[in-house]
Amino acid sequence: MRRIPLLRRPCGLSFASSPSVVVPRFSPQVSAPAASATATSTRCISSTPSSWSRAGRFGQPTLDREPEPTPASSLPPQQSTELSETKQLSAEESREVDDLVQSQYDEPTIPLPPRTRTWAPKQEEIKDSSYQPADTGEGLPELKSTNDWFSDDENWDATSQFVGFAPASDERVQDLRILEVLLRRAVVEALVMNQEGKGKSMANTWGMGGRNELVKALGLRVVVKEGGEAEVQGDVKGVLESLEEVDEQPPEEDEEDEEDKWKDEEPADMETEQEAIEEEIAPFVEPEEAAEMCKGWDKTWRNISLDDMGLKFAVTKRIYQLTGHRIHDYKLHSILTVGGLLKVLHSKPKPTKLFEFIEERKPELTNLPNVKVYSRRVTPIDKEKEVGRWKVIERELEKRGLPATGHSHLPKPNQRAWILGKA
Amino acid sequence: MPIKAIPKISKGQNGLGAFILQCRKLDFHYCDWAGSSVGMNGFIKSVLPKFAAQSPQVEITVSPRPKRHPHIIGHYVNGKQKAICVKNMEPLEILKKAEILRNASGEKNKRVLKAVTSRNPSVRGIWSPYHGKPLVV
Repeated sequence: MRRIPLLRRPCGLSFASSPSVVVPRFSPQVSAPAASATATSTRCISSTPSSWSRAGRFGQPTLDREPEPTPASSLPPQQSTELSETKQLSAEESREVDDLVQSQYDEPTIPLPPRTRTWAPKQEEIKDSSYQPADTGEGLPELKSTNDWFSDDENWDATSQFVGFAPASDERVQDLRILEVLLRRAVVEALVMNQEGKGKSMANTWGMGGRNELVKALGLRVVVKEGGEAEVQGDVKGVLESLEEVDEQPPEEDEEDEEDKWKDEEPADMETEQEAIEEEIAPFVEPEEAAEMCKGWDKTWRNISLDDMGLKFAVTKRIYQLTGHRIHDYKLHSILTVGGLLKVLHSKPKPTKLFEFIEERKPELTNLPNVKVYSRRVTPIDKEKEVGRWKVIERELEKRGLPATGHSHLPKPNQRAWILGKA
Repeated sequence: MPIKAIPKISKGQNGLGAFILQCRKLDFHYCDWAGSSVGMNGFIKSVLPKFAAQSPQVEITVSPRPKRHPHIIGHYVNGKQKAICVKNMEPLEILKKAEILRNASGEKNKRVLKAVTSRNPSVRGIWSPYHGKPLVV
């Protein structure tokens, strides 16, 4: 039974229980015997590592002096081979982790503040006779401090921003006509993939394309056979190529550009960037144009069967990518045709609040003369306002110098700080 | 000029028909998020329209009260209030509680020990044929 000895011990456990020496983080020059004395004294008190070091975290000794190994001769032969295997594995693993960490240090993925510091020349050193030092700060350019460097959005380039697979929930396509057009595009593209035998590529991310790709996909003719099977005719290869094109990453900025970040950016550049982003998100078709397109199609395309699970997943995934509408799993089961999918897309989302539900679907309750429905909590102030007493109360409170609402006049509670030991 | 009789505005029914419901107002509070309000939300959606239509003399308000259990609060003509917590109840159970509050008088609950209650009890008590001098048949 070799199962248990083969299991490696977790790094943290081995670190905590091994006789290795713990060195304070900011004093790497400490001699080994002194450090060992410190370590043994702290180890008696606490079972957790008293200080943090990167090497120690990944299971390596922090000093040059390694802990005394257990002599292999004193162990049984089987156990000694296991020990050597384990040591080899842990050494490889720690080397990989170290390489990874080192590579991260070499090429930081986050934008760091500039290390070089420049000093303005003193007034005596300036040779230009026309130079006059400013008496006030008015009109002088302002440079930002680096204290809030990481919380400033301007210091994070586009590559650092999260890019989702689908549009965000507030950018979903809501227009029913555009939804139908994009569904047609998704169905046609999935059929093209299926027809060309690219079953494996159906799981990949397809290129978003632009207006041209949309027109190209909608230009294909869909022939629906009996039983719901469909065939696509036309420039199938062109659509396939556009699907398999992967969007290129934006080019990395040069060092010069990074330096230019210190200068004030022109607002016009920001506007153009915003426009570019909006263009990328747009569904490339106007609602009126989409309505005309829908009229031109034969209704039989809605009978295309989605019995094939691969096709159904490909279509719903593409719809999610194009429109931001995610079809829930419990609905997927009941969707059998493209028409069914269109119905799900056209269905209104359920109201999340009871008030919205009553307003939309229960007019018989709101129309009753003796019933009043509120959208939010009825506060004591609302009750006073209802009987016309609040203005009197407010006036009297102001007269006495007391606040009418809120607790901003009160000191902040410091009990939390007491509990955390901060005060 | 013929003499006209004074038109009769009210119709005396010996006190009948002058009943005023003591419940003036009913407040229905719910929470959109909490699980204990599921029954109350169902009640407001499906049962309350009918209940409110059947009680036109009672003012009914529906308002959310986030992070609190659902409640029904009855306001009465005598100025008192009665509240019932309806957490985790089914819509039909809540309907019974709403009916209790609507039909209540607003007075405090009292234990009734006698079969007959009167606001003006007689000093001599209720007459009985077996009291006093027995009848000679």
